[in-house]
Amino acid sequence: MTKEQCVSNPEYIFFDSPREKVFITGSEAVAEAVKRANVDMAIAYPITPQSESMHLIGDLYAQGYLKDYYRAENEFAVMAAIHGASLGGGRVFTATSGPGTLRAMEMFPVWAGSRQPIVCAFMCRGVSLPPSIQPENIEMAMLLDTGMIMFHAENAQDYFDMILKAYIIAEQPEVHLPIGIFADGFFVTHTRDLVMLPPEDLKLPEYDSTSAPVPTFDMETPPMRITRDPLLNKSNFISYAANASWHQEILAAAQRAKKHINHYLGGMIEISNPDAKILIAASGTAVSQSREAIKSLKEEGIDVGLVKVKSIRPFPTKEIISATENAELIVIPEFNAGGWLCREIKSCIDNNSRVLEGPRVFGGMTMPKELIMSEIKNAIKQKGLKV
Amino acid sequence: MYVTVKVDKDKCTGCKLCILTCPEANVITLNEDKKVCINSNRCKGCFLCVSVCPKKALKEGSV
Amino acid sequence: MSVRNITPVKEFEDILPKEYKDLVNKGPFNNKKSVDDLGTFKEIIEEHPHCAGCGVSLGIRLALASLPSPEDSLVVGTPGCSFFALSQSAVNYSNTAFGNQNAVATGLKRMLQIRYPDKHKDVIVMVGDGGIADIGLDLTLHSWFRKEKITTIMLDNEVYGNTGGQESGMSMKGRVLNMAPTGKKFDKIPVFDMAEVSGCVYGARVTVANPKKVGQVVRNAILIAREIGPTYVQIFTPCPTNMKFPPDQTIKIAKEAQKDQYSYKEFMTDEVAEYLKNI
Repeated sequence: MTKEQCVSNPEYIFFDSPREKVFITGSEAVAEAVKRANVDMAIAYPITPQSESMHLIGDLYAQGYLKDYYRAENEFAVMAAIHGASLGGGRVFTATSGPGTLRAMEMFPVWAGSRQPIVCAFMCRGVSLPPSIQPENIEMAMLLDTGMIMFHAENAQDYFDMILKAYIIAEQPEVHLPIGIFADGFFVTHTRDLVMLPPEDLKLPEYDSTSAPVPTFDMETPPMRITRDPLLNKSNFISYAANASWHQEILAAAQRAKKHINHYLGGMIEISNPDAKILIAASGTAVSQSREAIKSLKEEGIDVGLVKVKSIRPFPTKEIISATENAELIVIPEFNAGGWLCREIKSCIDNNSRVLEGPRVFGGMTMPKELIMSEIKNAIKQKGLKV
Repeated sequence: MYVTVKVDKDKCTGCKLCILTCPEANVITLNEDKKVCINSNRCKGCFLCVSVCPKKALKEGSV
Repeated sequence: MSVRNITPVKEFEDILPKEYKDLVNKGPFNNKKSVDDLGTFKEIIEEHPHCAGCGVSLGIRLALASLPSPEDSLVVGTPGCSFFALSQSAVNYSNTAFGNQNAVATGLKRMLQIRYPDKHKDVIVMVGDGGIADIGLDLTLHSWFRKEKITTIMLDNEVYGNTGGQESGMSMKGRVLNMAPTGKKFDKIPVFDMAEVSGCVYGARVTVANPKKVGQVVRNAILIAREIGPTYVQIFTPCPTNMKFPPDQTIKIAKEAQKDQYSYKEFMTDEVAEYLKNI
């Protein structure tokens, strides 16, 4: 009952194959990516706003695109079972949202520590502060230092491309780390958007676990005497040094991922109008809202540039320093109360008085372009900028 | 000086109860003469083997 | 795997340690061994840092000597004392977060079935009482409800050993332990009975005072899990360090327990009984 798919060169699928324009939701875009990713196994647990995407992936299993799929008992169990499946040497997928992310938190550093190329989608929503199912991306702040590579999708097209490409980036022998692909829930998952899709009869080559920098956990790969994720807790210097050097290697692997991210995602950041004195730096849905604000400000004669941050980990430190070098005002709109992107950017650039922290919306509030525009106009007045 | 276990070869019948009771792997082994033999370098001196030997062929000792 | 996978080429033979060469030449890989053969073959466990007289390390040693196919066995564990001997064994061993072992084993077993459809890859969970009865109870029960074909072995020392002797759900009622300064207020969690009602097709409750029985039930449990469904073995492995008895008393304590909370118990479905007749 499955449409015959043929394995194709990833470069061809990503860059050269014909693309068909479709009008689909972000959740559907996620399933379209998984359909072409030659995934062996997916595990699901329901949570709003992730559920629809994992229903659709269940349908893919029923149609024969995946070899195994089940609904697990909670998110910690999902992420643990996905880890087990990945140890076994296959390609896996799962997704979650907000409180589910926090419930499963213990497993994310385990994935990175174990060097598993797991791809997981996060449909960000509020967590209990107080509870909200609405779009908000505070959970990303909590995952910044788990060792995972993190991409932030602006729209359904980004979500499709980033998930499909994440497999190839994650499975590079010199990278071999988990990748989380984040999108702001509802805004991306539950709205329809134009997405350009490569043909559905093409799929990525299957994952080759023999190219991994760590042995596959299948009793076929010598040495047999291998402990995965060893508890390096002996109280002696060698244990500390082994733990520290392994940890450093994970951070180094993320740095080595940069060239692959540049190649496949076309850069860790995207800049438009780089010479503008006023810049908006944003990630996720805030980028789309900023584009609208920039258009309207231009009509009023205010020239504003845009830095879209696509890769959150590894963080594009150098790229952001050079993109903001000549800016006199840097505006960072965010869909969370904590302002994690603002902290990240401020920690790498000079002269932080240039930074306007916000606007920030949360708890399900939207970010109308007028909000961004008025914040920028106020800042221009306060700083006495000439525009 | 370390504690270990000494085998009285005259009393040992090779029943292997001590081997099945030792928490360490490959520390008590069965010789070709069907008597047990202790690797005293790796014996932790718990004396569980002494406690189960039906012939009292094993004794606490030291090296 | 085949023992050929680990056999060194002639040129490297002289630089490999004796333990490695013994494992290839006198080990249990592709060379069926059991508890009865202990003392006459090279065991897959190497030197480990368990305390003298440790019941857990004895339980692990007996269980690992009973693997029907060590060359295709994978052990999933959880942090705690059991880690120390298991991480020194010549089978693939995974140890991730506390209490997630049956979920990790589920994913692993299913992926190995996808990748090796024509082979038996035995996935065995071997963890302490805290990992199963307390922090990992939900994930353990769910793996049984789902009928995952894995063997779960509890090494029950009735205490949290590695963290320093705290009360666990499997501790005896009334026992004074760390975090139970006035004695434990409730009975041992009936995990063995829960296994039967939760979908395990075979279960056995034994102690390290009966090594041959341990060998027999572990072997049966693994063979049954291959063909029929989830199986559970609960082994009493007393802890001299935290229960504060001399290390040469471990077997005596286990024997006493056989008259009390650890009387021999076994359950099996009709299908399993039929299957056991034929092996």
